[in-house]
Amino acid sequence: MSAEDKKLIGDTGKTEYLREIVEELKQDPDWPLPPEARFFLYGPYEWDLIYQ
Amino acid sequence: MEGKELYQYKHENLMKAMDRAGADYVPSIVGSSCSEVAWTGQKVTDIIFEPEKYAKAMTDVFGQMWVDGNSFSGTLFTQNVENNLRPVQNLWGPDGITPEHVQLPYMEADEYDELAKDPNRFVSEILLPRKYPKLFEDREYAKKMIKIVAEDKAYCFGVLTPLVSKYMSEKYGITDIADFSVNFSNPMDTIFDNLRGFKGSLLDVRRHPDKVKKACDALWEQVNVPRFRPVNKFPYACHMTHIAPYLSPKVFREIYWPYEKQWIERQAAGGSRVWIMMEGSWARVWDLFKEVPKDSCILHVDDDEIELAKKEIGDYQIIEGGMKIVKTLTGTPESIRDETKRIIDICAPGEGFLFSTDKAWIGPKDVNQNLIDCYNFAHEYSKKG
Repeated sequence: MSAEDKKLIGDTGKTEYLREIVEELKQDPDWPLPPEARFFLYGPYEWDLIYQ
Repeated sequence: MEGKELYQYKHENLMKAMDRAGADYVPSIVGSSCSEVAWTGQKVTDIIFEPEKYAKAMTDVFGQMWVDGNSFSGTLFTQNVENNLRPVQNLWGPDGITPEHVQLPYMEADEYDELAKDPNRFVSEILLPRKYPKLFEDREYAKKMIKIVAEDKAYCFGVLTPLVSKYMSEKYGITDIADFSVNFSNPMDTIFDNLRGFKGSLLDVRRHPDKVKKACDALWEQVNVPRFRPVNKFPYACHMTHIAPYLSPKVFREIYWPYEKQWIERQAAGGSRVWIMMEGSWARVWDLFKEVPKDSCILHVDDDEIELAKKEIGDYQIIEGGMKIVKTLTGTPESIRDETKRIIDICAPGEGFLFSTDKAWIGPKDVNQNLIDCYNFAHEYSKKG
């Protein structure tokens, strides 16, 4: 693992950054997708994204 | 017979066959991607955004073909994701029919300690920035991409899949036996599918099995267990297995089986069963399925010979399979009928047998007249009296 990657673990806030976006999208009133159809946002979205 | 009456008739017989309670005939099962669409002369990618047209194309063939149960039929993605987010593992092939999966592993061999420390955080802090750096550089781009993926999931799982099921059950009396919303991933498959890929995973279990096992334990505790929901009795939870046939029996027993067993036991304790796609060959580990409750599993037999599966495990667990799909593509109608007869004669006694092809119907020619005739013959030939 590179030193850069080591730095990433736990202290860069990328997990929280993603979570903030997801929370915003859950509440997004302008998004035509009905709230009950937004199940992707309830996780585990990080695993779904890496599997894409 | 049609509509509800047909559904009830087929459903009751299907449940009786699985319960070994005197079914009138051997039920047959469909498992497919979208080959049914090709049978109608259309491309999936041309009609996928027209739900009714897609569902009709996915099910028209069942007007000519006797099928009782559905393990899974359809797609889990459209081309919208690959058209916007790159790179992706799941794509549509150039024929517009065949889904393709190209593994893109982003985890390195020396990162198991980090994975075991916090699997969820490891993915979002290390792997996602490595695969999709722009998600972490441009907030608006990230929102747009997450919306696209979320919409695609909502469309495939919330619109297409239920609509195909509705057509199947209401028009053709076909019962869904597996529920892909409760799809299990064995931790070792999670490493294989999401993190290390084919080559990496197989090297890792040989070079440092202790680290792999520790990571699997962490995945089980932090990824699998939190996802468990109360057990739904029917349709059954399911598992599309991947790496298992490439593991030695020893490694399977130590690293794969413990989680599989716990998952099966959990579902059985809730009064349900599990449906497992035993991709590849599993004959070397069939005996382990005698450690879990009788008839708690429907084991889809893929590369193994069905007569051996019947002999070794078929009186203890429900087995599904029999017809090699290659036979329906290359055999004569007579040879296919003879083979169907042979399979039914061997596997029907004692029940707990579901007739199907070994492979899912994925390619554009997988659904063809030979296959239709084969399923119809299996139904007629297996009728009692």
